[in-house]
Amino acid sequence: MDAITADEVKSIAALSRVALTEQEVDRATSDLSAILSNFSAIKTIETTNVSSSDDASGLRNIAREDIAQEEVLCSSDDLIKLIPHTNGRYSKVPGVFSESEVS
Amino acid sequence: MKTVIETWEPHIHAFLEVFENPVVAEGLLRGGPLQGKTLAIKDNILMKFGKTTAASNILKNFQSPYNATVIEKLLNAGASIVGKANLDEFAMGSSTEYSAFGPTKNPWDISRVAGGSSGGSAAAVASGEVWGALGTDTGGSVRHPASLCGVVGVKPTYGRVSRHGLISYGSSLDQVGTIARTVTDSALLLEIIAGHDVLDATSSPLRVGKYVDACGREIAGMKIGVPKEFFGEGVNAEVAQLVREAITSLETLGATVTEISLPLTPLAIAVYYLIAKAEASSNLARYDGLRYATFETEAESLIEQYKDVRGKGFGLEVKRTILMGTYALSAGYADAWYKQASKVRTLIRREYEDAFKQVDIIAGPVTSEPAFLVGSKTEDPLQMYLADALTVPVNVAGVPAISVPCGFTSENLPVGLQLIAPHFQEERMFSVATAYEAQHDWYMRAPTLPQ
Repeated sequence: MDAITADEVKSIAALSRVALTEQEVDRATSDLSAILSNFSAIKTIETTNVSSSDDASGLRNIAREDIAQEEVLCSSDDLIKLIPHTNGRYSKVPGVFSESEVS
Repeated sequence: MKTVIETWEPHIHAFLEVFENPVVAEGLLRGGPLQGKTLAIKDNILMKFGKTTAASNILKNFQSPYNATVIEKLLNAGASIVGKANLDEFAMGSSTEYSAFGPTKNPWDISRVAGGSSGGSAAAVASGEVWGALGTDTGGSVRHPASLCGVVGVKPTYGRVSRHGLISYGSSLDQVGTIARTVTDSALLLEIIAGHDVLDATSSPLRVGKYVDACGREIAGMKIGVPKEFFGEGVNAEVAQLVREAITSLETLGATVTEISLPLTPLAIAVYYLIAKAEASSNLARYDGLRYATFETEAESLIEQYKDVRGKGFGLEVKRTILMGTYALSAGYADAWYKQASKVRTLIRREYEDAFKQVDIIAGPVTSEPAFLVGSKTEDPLQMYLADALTVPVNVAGVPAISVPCGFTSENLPVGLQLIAPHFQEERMFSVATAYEAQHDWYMRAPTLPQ
């Protein structure tokens, strides 16, 4: 069975940093189970000697010299202005560790 | 007197934002092939002017500091951009009902959806609010609403148009596409926005075709392949009949029609959604409420802030995307889901390469049914995904395709003919599409304003 469990949904939600309500967990569990059982048809296709299709465009990696360009399209100040909470040129965020973890 | 936009908007909600004065290039004196042409831009394409929300609450206050490359190209060609068109949140959906700011309705019947995800762009063109529009097509998001709204929609070859400044969904699939009333107008728009861009490493350095010149070119001797899988069960009988009649009428112009088989067609939905959602789960990681727009939260730690902002800021389908994509990529499951989908994608691509050794163009329906009723699929995501069954193979294969109006059902709902060409052979597609279009008056028909 490809059915996904509510615990798996909660674990994936935590990994992908999305808070879900209990109701959303239930809904996602039934929706994803239905979708994945339908999609499991691809498992019947023989692909042992088939390569994956990671090169969608057929283009090679494109590199350039690592030299900072002053302004492409907009300045760094323009980008900083978008940040809701700043301290100078830094983005201000809540603490990464809680009090107890620090002490 | 009210403008067309003021008259139609209360009925269809094609726009998220209408600019008080159209945006035109600064310092552009006159000329340009798009001089005097009004355009709507799907709201997942960045513009310095106005907001760019992707129809998501998480970006509801976002103002881009720069224009996407396609916007710069349109402005340099003299276009007047009148506003930002509605879409399914982050372009994820097939009806524009997943917009956080309310659905777009179909101008031909406002109890029905406009299709999606570029539903606002298609409805704005169909109602006559604008001359043309840009959409994006990851799995059919230009062709699907174009078909349901009775206008022309073009999905170019992967890599043909720069995606710099496009809000990413599935990066191995996304392309910017065009919507207009006629094939020639669509060809003109594509010719302007296509081409290599140093800011998008996936854009192709190949020469841009002469798309407008290709319109009206003879199609005698052209070989048209009709995949039997495009007329399988689940395809509405009226849709199948109208599309078959359209293909038959190409024979009268000297094209030869043969039935072909693309056996993996029924699996394209699974392949497409597994890949698109996996790529999207990664692309959406950047929306953390810390960088792009204000999203108030009372979280006390950084991780709680991430979860809170993303939990509240993303809608149902976007959260489903993140969960499914993360699942398909997670340790222990990636081989069975993501990697298997990627391998089957290789097989689907080969199927198209082989088919194009025998035929010049592949033709079939765009969608299996005409516009469906608002609310009829939102509770069943699998049914919503299946609406894309005949458009996603094109994105999986990376080839170009066009949706051309090919008649109306007994309920006066538009139906689209899909023409698919090999990689970078858009010219061929435009020739066949204009040849078909010229035989009929579908493009002359317009919906009447609801009472």
